Amino acid sequence: MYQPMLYLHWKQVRFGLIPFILAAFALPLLTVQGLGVPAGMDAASLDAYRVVSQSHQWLMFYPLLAATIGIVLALSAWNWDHQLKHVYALSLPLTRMEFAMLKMGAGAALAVLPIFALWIGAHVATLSITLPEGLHAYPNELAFRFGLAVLVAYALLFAMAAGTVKTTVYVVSAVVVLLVVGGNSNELLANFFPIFESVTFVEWAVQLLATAPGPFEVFSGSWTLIDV
Amino acid sequence: MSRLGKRLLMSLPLLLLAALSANAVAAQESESAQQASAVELELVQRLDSLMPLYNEARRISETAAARRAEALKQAALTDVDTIKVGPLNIVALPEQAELARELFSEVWQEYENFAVSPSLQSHHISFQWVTQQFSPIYLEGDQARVELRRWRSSAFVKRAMRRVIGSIIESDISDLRLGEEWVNAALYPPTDLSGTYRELASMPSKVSRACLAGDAGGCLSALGLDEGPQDLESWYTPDERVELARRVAYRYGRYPNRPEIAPCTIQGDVEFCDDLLRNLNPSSSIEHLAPLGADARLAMIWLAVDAGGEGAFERLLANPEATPAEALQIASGMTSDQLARLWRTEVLEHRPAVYAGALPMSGLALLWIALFAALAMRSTRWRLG
Repeated sequence: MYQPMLYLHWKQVRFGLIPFILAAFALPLLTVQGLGVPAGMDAASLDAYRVVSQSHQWLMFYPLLAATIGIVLALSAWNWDHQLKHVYALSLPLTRMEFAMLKMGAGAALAVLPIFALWIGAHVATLSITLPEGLHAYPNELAFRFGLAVLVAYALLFAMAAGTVKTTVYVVSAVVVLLVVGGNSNELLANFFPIFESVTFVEWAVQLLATAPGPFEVFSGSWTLIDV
Repeated sequence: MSRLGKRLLMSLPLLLLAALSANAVAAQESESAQQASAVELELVQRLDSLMPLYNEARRISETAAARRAEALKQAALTDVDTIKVGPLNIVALPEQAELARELFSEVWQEYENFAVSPSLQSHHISFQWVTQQFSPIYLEGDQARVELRRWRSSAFVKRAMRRVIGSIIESDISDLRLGEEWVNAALYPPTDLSGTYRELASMPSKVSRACLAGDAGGCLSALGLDEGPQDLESWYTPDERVELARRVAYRYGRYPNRPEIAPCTIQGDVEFCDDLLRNLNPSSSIEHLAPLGADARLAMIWLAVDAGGEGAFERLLANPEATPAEALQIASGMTSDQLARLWRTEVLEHRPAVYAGALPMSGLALLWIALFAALAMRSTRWRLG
């Protein structure tokens, strides 16, 4: 049953996934683009500084790409089911849990493609430049973090897409209301919780989600391919 | 005509002239008086117009003075305990005295080498770590405050304590040639030199690279501790000086495309760049343009005092006119080379683990993936079995 599920998901998402695979391969190469020795300049003197400062300009694209790939895979996993009112799923001799698990596994397997592409791209990028003394490349660590970020985004959106539209609307509305109301009622909250005298609710919520033990901790932190 | 008549006749023009002059003078005086009174009137009007402002300012000043007096009165009513931790004079609420002693003692262990600091001995530090409003605590003379809300962690409180103690010690160093010419910033224990490592490895400077490769002289130069005369040529190659000028000028608001600095930033004229660097901030010494910044230098001071053992900081303070390099040698009892090697070893040990925390992060991520998967499998949409 897993293979047909995998094939169905691949059939659904292949044309959308290929650009992301290419993007994942190209991003490390773009990161090191232009790093090297301009003619007439003393090579070693400016390399290290330029490598570190210029490669950092591309850092924000890695988590963005990871999140986008996860979202695309998750939404495409349930797309046909939503369109066909889950008739196909109901006709299968599987429990809901088994069905969802197989579907999730299929999507996770497809996520390996862009992750592998990034890993290859990172190694190619590293080999294409000579690193000055004191700098090191981290292609494996970067690919590992990328993979985890893709899977976290995929799992979150998969869970939301697995539910009803009503559930999704509730969740999204709750988030929006919390942010809007929380943002405007900081003073009131401060009367009951002294922490809000110094920190805004939105700031606190974002920090809670984006740092350990929040779910988005994997998106923050170091995404650098080349560093000391 | 009689003689008298003739005299009268001759003096008539004079009399007439005198009368006319007197008249003119009187007229002028009258005019001046009128002008003066007009000016006086204007001034009086202006003063009158300022009176409401003056009265308002006086009212505000009196209110502020009354509040100050009230605060002092309240502060006098605040019951406080003064405790000693090393040379630190800490003023705390009675119920927080033991807590203050405990926390300051832990932090003070890191600063024991600086016990002879005259500034630490003269300062009073108020301490409050409370849930509600801070109680007014009146301190005389040199003072500092560590006053935080209770929901702050103890680690945060200790960081605040380090900040205060480091700032107080800074005032001692600022009186030395070491502080005037070389570095003047709050002194912290160098527990995290990863930033210094990063600076050393990526700074475009020939002496930084030499230091990283193991040359102690390179480390001294990178820190601005050369024995001989120092200048930009000793630290940077021509290309590096052009790059440095671009970055430093930008920091002073002189953007690279401005015409007055274009010969350096755009045309790459090294001599122009050198002049630009020397003149951007004439009040600071050339040592401030050495490759490594304040954090690296403070770490050197700390290591020197630590290596010098007992009396090290005292020796440092006892030689205010010593050059930075001499001062550090005197404090540590080591040669510059030995100090440089010690510093380099310490910095290399703090090479940042760029992907530190990857394992815990991955465990947490997998947990969240499992949670989301469980939520997906428990959807209320429909269930089979």
